[in-house]
Amino acid sequence: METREIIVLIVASIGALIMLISSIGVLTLPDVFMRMHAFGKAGTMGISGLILAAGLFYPNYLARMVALVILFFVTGPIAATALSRAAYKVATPAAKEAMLEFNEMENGRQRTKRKPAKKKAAG
Amino acid sequence: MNWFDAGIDILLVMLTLSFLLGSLRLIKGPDVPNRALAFDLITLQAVGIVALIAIRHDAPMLLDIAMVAAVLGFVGTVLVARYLEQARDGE
Repeated sequence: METREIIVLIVASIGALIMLISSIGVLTLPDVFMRMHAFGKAGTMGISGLILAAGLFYPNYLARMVALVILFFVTGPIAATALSRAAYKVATPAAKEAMLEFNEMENGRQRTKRKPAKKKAAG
Repeated sequence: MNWFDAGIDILLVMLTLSFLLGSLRLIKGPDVPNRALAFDLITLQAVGIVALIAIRHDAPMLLDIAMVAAVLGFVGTVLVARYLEQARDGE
């Protein structure tokens, strides 16, 4: 029983667990943007756990794997943002109305579907 | 029985299960952005599975494959997203 193997197993199981949870989220959440939220967890934490475990198991590859983790942390948000923009542009107005509570990208004009919370009287 | 190999096997089963869930979303996904999202998720899970197999079978050269697959998955996702935006703009 080696310490290194225990550490590798712990890091890899964190990664695999996050991966499983986020793919359950991608399968069950109701619309694209919520799925994007679940996907972001797998895109950074899950995969970097698994990759880091491989790097710890093979010390020769550790530098490359850390570089790959940095790459994931840079590219994950880029991919998520690009895909969200595309999903927003492809959606029809009715779908946007159903999905978004607060439409920020509509030419500076902001609509809210629900009434804003009542402000309490000052004092 | 080697407990370390057994643990890695359990993690491989978990990852394969999540791979199947991701493919279900890829099949079901009502429109293109959903499918692109599911494809990106599946690519990441394939990278994870390759990394675990590299640990399990003492084959560190598989990690190079994992690196290339990761970069290609990212490029593919951004390409699909860009294509969707431009197609909408052109109309």
